[in-house]
Amino acid sequence: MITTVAPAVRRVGRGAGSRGALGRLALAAVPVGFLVVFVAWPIVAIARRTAGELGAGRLAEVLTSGRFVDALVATVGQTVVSVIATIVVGLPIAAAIARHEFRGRGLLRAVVLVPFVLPTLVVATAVDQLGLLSGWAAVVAAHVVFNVAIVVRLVGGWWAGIDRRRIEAAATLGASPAEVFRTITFPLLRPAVLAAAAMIGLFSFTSFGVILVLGGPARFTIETDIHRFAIFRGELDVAAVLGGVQLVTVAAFAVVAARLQRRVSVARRGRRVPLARPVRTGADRLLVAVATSLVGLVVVVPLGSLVVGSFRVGGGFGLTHWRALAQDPPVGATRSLDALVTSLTFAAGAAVIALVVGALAAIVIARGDRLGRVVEVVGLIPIGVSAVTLGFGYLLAFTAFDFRRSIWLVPVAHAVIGVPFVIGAAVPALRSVDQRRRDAVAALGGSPWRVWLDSDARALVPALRTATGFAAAVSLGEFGATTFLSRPQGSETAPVVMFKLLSRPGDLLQGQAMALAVALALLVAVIALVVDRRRGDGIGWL
Amino acid sequence: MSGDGLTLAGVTVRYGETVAVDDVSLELAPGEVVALLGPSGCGKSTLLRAIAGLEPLAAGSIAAGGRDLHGVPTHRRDLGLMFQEHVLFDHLDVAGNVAYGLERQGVGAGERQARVAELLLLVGLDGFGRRRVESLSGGEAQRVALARALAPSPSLVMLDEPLGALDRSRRDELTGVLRRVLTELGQTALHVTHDQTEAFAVADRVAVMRAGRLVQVAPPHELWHSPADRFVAEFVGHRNLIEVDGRMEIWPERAVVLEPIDGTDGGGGLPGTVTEARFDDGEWVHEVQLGDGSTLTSRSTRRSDIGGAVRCRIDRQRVIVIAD
Repeated sequence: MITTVAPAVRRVGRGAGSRGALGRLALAAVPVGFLVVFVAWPIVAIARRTAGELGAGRLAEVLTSGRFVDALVATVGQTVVSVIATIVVGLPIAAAIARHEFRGRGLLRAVVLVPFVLPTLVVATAVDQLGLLSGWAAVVAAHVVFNVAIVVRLVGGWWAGIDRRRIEAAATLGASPAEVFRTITFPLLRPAVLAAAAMIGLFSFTSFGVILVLGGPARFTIETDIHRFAIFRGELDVAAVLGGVQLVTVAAFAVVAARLQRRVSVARRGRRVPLARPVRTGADRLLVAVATSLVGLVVVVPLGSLVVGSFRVGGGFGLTHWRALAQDPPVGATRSLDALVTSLTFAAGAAVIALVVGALAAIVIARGDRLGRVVEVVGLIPIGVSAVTLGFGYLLAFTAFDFRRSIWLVPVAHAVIGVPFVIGAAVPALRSVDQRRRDAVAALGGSPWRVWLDSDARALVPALRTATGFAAAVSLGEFGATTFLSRPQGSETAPVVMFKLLSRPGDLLQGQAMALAVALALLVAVIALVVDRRRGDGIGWL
Repeated sequence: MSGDGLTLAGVTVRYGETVAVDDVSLELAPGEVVALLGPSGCGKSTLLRAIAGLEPLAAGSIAAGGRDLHGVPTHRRDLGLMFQEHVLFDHLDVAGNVAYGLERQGVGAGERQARVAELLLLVGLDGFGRRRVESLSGGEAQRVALARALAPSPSLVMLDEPLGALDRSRRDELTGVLRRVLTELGQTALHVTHDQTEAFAVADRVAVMRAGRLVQVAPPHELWHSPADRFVAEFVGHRNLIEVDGRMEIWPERAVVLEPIDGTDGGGGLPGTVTEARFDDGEWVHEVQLGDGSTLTSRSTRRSDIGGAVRCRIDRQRVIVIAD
């Protein structure tokens, strides 16, 4: 038997050697080419403007200006507060879900995830129409609503994976529950908390729509100032300097976040006793009650009242705002219904591009050789670029195009943002394929193509389905890059129109914005349901 | 001497409708090592968890050192608990793990260091203090877990299948370490296992458990020589259980002597055919099929051929009669 197996395996190995190398180079060319043109080139355009053409004097002038210092302080300040607030709110929820089995636990996990997949502008609108908070407090609140899922999933998932016997061993050694938490649980959780903090920090630092909607014109961060100086003031030099600053900081942030997250994504070996146990004591019940209330307060109340608000007309209820979606185009903007159709079209386009680029990149990366590592680095670049920086980079790099006609740039930009998610889901799926499975198919006489179909492809398909859906959802909600690229002539997306509605006074326009927000949220929900059949198991990498 | 003794009276644990531990009463003298022996799922681990205060009692009481443990939370019970695997604190080094219980007691740094060194020496890991937990082998990790459980001198230490995850040679080696350490410290201990050899090697007395109930509690030799019933007899390793005149007899494997049927034999005995022969622990073990279809297992230094006709002679002096 051994003599018949060995040649078969060797044949596969040789096939992948000489002819395979050329083929893989061709595979790699597509994603690398796409990312070089649509990510690297715009970044270079900003960098050239900042470093080369501007001159050191102008650069120093912008960086020492009061406006920049204020923006920097505000950006860092709201980021720090958002991270702390989100962790404080998220930890009790993570604790309850990780430590206890109770009725409604699965529902709680699923509900927490909802705001995270919703467009940021929908979350901002939801917090805005509550009218409870304003200014930076509202900004931080929206960041908590949006990001709390990161804490619950990342920290909660890690927490639930702690072997219960460790906690019990500590208790028998004389540690009180508080001491167990301080000396055992928290040290074990620390990498997950840090990873969550880095991700929340990254999202808050580059937050755009939330700050425009809830901060109003008086509040600004580096991200919103790139937009303001580029679009409203026409000072591209200042915008370029800010874009350069944002590129460096966000890239550094992303590297740290990715490294921290890798530490908590390693599979744990061996048979473990799960931590979760039934609710027994009064303290258990209190924890579950607190967690449930927090989810109610942070997720259900704002989103629920957004839905209710979309039906509120004057003192009563009616369909006025929903009808307005099809009827009244706001001044200088696209009709809401048309914007929704545009959004869906772009989302489909972006998902297809992200799928093709991401899947090809993942296949090359999963081999783990030098070419794979190069593609991996290139493929993850978009994570280190904020959406606004990307949009601004397009503005500088693609001056040759008439933006009123080149509406295809919008789905392309959206696809760029979606590619890392596709890669992030597909690579682990491919790496999880057992080499023995490939060998077994080969030993049974399968051709290299058959081997790939029966092992790798089987792992790839479910991962790609989820990630592609996520890319489509991201595209539906994308606002930062789109603001630079969309024009009223046929390329205004739903978030852009929603922002225009919100930024004008008048109850009718506000009401229409709420209806549009709910409609957009429903579209995202439909995608999530179609794509992710494993209910409550999370989307993409969360 | 750090043993205080343990008294279980009518201990019952329920999971919903199922009774996991059913009316168990057991006494451990100070310094005594008792093994809780039974098949998996018989409730032995649950009993351990109940003693530790990790499962609530449905009925009965637990007292350690004369102190009733009702309502006392786990961390105030003064117990040590050692599990099968994966329970060292991997954010601490070896010394940090062993010192953990001492820190909780507020023992000073100097005394703590001395005690940690003493225990590591005792379990054969002298000089391992600064090692990272991930760098340990399975056997070493279990030695650290043992040292950690013993360091605070608990009134009772409980070992839940402590050697279950180890390969056989490692297991034999650690069984010896376990026995020596517990004896040397005079530590009262309750050792849960499903392995009869391990139970006999470590314990002064063995409590056999089945479906939540204690079937028999006795020293190893007594368990072997007068098992309470068929279940205990089979569980401690007896193979030949024979019904004779309405009562149960055990013919130990060495009590069954094989003699070839070759014309010169004296006749009598139980004639049969050898169906299996294997070499185990320096002796030959034969399976013999008798005329009525039943089989006997025999153990001797002489080899018989498979397929050969033999007479089984029974050494009546070694036969055990089961009381029930």
